Amino acid sequence: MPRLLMILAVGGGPADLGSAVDSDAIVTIRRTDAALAGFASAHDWTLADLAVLAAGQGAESEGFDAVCLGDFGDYGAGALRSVLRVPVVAAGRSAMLHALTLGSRFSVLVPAAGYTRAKKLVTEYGLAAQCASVRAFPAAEGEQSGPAFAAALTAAKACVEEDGADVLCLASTGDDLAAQLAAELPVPVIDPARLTLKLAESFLGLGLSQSRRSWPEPQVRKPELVEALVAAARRVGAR
Amino acid sequence: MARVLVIVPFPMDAENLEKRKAQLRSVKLGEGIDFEFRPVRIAPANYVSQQDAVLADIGILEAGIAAQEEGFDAVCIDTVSDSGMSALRSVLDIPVIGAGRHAMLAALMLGEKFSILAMWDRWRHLYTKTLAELGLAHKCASLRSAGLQPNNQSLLAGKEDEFFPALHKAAMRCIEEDGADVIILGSTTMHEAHAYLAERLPVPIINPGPLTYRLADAAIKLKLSHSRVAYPAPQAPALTQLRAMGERAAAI
Repeated sequence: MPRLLMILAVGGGPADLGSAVDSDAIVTIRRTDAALAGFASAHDWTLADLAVLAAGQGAESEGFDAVCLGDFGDYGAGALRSVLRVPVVAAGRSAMLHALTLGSRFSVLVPAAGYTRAKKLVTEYGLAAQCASVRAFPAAEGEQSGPAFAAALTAAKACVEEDGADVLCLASTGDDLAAQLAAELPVPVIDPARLTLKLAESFLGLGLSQSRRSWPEPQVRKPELVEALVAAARRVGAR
Repeated sequence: MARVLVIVPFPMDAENLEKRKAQLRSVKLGEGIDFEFRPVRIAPANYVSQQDAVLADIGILEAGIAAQEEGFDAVCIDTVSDSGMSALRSVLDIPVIGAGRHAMLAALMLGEKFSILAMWDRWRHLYTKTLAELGLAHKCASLRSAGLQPNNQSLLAGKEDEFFPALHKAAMRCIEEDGADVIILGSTTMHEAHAYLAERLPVPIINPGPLTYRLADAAIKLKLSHSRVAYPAPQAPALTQLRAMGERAAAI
């Protein structure tokens, strides 16, 4: 009975996350602290790294078998991989690599606030040559109906028709947006959060986890400090 | 019940087919999925030349071209060469999972650089082809072999004492000398060595055949198949011609 911890930022997030996993899997969704919300700038990313590390660093002692990071920005992914032995599956990294199993060039479709982060990750993962484009659409995280959907669809069509994408990665955790877009497009659309759950299950089924060579352990662990920092921010409240 | 067709890239008897099916025991699978192993009728003797690559592509295409009509929900190709994968993707809408491409991309989910551990150097061209197609040569720490003669029928049976330590030694060189964070077994025919190596290596080692079974399940459940834009359909699939070739090859 695999226990999967899904860490998501405050805000959006799919309702039916568990629908694709094996029936014996238990998915627990945990939101990062509201005091550390925001994804638009490097300042925000630094805080998000800490928030995700705090949310997941105790996953093993809590009895989780794997951790899924559902936000495309992969905040805290490296930090969690350095302190955990169980698989940590990050949505952005996984979605872009998985896209290349389905086609040869992908685009990332991202709510405007996530644009800079998505561009950064493409370069960091060495996938610039395989990335047809990163396109932003004007929508708040999690929004999906009305004008926001129309804007996402327009951007998605441009990825395919103008940029040459074979596959789209949707850098948003909105309910069913990927399925709605896929219905209107000639290419597959990856919903990264749901993908992380299936990959976590797959890695568990195969006895695989991340390489300690890529993410070495810290010499001195500081879980209490991490916890205290986040608690201090929480006492001050959201920005 | 989802049904997955596993195409085995050589003709073989029932006993040797069991050695291929044994890969199912290396992975915990979810419920509601069933795998049917089918050997090809057209095949080269082994996969060491471009002639072999063409015959392999034809044989695997012939074996799987009607998979969708036969009611399968996905196809796995039981070779790291990914022979026939692109051709099958162009005619099928159901997911077609090639062990090589998927193993390399999964390796990069688990680490920054991977090495491919082969039985012998004659397989190098299989890996350089996929690395070039993916444009990910810079992520490959090394292609190393243990200098061992493979057998695509009996696999590693009876040679464990000699082969397993030799593979372990080569894998350690991938890690210590070449900087590999993840090792990929260079052939699904090496699966019998996976458990031995996984227990002894300090990095993850991917067993490519079993990986495809899990990824087939993921593809079915997530309703994610390959892109038609990346794999355009032929105007007229040569089903009749391929069937005639299959029957002829089977009779030789």
